[in-house]
Amino acid sequence: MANLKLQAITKRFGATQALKGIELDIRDGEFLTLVGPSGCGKSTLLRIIAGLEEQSGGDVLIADKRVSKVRPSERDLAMVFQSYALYPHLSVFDNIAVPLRMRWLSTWQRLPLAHWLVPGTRAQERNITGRVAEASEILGLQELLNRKPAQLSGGQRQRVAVGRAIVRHPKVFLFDEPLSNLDAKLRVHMRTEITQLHRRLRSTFIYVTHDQTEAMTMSDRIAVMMEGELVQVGTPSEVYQNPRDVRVAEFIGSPKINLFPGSVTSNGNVYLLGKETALCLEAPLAGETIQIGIRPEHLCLADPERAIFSGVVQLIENLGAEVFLHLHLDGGDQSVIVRLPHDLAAGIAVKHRVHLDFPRERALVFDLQGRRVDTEVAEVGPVREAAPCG
Amino acid sequence: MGKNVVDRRHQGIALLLSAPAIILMLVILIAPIAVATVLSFTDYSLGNAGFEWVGGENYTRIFTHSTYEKMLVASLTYVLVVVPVSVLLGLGAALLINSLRHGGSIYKTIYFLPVMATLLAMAIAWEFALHPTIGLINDTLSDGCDSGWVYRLATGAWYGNDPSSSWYGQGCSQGFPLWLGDRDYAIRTICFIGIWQAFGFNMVLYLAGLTSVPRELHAAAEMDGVRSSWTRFWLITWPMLGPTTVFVVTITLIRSFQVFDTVEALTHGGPVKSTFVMMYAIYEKAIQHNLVGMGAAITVAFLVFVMLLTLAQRWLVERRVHYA
Repeated sequence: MANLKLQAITKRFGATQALKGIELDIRDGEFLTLVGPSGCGKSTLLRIIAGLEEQSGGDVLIADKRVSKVRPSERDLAMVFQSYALYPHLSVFDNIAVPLRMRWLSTWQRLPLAHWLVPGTRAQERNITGRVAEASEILGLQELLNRKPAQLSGGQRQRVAVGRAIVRHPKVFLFDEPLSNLDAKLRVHMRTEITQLHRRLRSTFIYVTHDQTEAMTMSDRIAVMMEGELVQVGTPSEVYQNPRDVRVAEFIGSPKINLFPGSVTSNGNVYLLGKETALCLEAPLAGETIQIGIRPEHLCLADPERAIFSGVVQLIENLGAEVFLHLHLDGGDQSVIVRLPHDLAAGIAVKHRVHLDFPRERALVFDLQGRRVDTEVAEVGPVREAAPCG
Repeated sequence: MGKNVVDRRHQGIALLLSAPAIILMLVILIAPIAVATVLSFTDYSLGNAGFEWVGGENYTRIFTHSTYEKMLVASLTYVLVVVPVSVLLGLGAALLINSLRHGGSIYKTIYFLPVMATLLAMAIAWEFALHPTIGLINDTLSDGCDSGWVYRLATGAWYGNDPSSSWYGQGCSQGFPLWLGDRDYAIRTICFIGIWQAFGFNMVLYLAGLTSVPRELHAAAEMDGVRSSWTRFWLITWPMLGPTTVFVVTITLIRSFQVFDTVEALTHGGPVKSTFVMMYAIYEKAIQHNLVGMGAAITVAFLVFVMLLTLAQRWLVERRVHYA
């Protein structure tokens, strides 16, 4: 177990700058997820932490020691790969035992047949068998130890790859999109398994994924990466409720956040689709066009005369407990997704007109560059009071 | 009942449609082997009106007559030397080239040259180089005798060896070997040329095999604590190349059993039948001596050899190298 520090990590591939000065502190025992769209540099960053890739600049510190010149095998990390990277010719037992054999046994002790002649081999092999048994028990692999990887299902292979990582009790675990080769149901299941494993081992986990659901459900903290930069680091609820960048707001959350064009008057009043809202900017930003983000669950049905906008239902997605309405707003080609509890959506059908409002304190305002702008709800709104939704 | 009629009609049509392919296969692939097998039990000669059945006599001769014993020895020597050496050299060259960042393609081309060049044409070059008196090789070797330090190094005099007891020292005093005319050297020379020609091909096959080794496996091994490239080779590269190795060994084995052109061009099976390999024996018996029955018997024996080896490969090895 150890904390991990990234200091101004940069990486260049030819002319392209893949990582632009990453600064990140990962605490001991923390589950941190690096999340971002594909090509944002998150896997590269993980490989730099592992030492499989060399950074162009900056430093990696593990347990306060600079490891830039330390080989991956000496950094005391374990990694679970997207393709699992199991040794296809070795049984599950041998696959899990490889990290121990490579570290605990000498070259002579690893030779076939001859190894029993070297003193101490038997005791070491007993230790290894014990540790493999321990790891396979945690992961429920006891029945599969004699099988070859080809005889295992995707989820079982995944578990063997995790077993190979935990058997050595390393300082830090690295996961490189470990669930992306599994089907949807298994992915949900493995998600909880990995979370429970983290709770059990209490080690530092660094987990790379492009799936925001995985990031939201598993992590202590999320680090959102975009185009080689860390855009925001925070707990899942911080990142979801208080995104500091419009790209974060768009990336985290499913269905995607609704973004509306808006503008600001010189005294800081926010206009949405040309309509006045009760929102004020805390710092002036007059005359600029802005974007206003409202999450689908924050839109609610309202009386026609109180509604801030109305639209026609184009599509209804019924998920059982809740319903997603896809609307086309009146006057313009703005589309909106609304997330409603099942009961509230009863009676709404395609082609119906619905009227919407939103609690003002839920609106997220972003400036032209996509940076978040803090707002406050006016005490007495020019049109009417705030938070009209029940 | 109606269904049965339809089924039978379908069967008839199916047979009719596949008949051309089946007939072609029988005539072109099976018939020649069948004819050779039949002829191997006769004393047939081309041009004769008839033939006598001789039973297994041709086969008995293969395994008892000293000429054919020499044939088996020559063929097996060639195979047992050329296959392991050219496979290992091919693997080594492939690994080295694969580890290069630049210039790999130059090496690939150079090592592949002997494969592309016709062996018969290259045999002439070799014949010239290996000529006992005017050949490049013996010329160079005897030049070394006059240069003091080469002589001392090659004879081992530097390490206190007796120069006259070494191979090089004897060569200097008694003349260097007749590479193709000496019964001790001829088969080795033929083997050398065989290796020279085969290893480039094996290298290319291994290079193709190496591209299929997933890069993540190497990364995983690095994380697992593998430090030396030797361990990495045994943990990943060698097992992952298993299917390639089976293929390479099989191909090289069959090609080595079929060696003919170097022997025909350089030694004609001699001296004293020391390079009398199977293909050359078939050629000499069946074509030159017009003993078609005998030639057919060797052909069948050859076929059985290669078939057995290939089957053994499939049964013993192939099952262990395919992991998926």
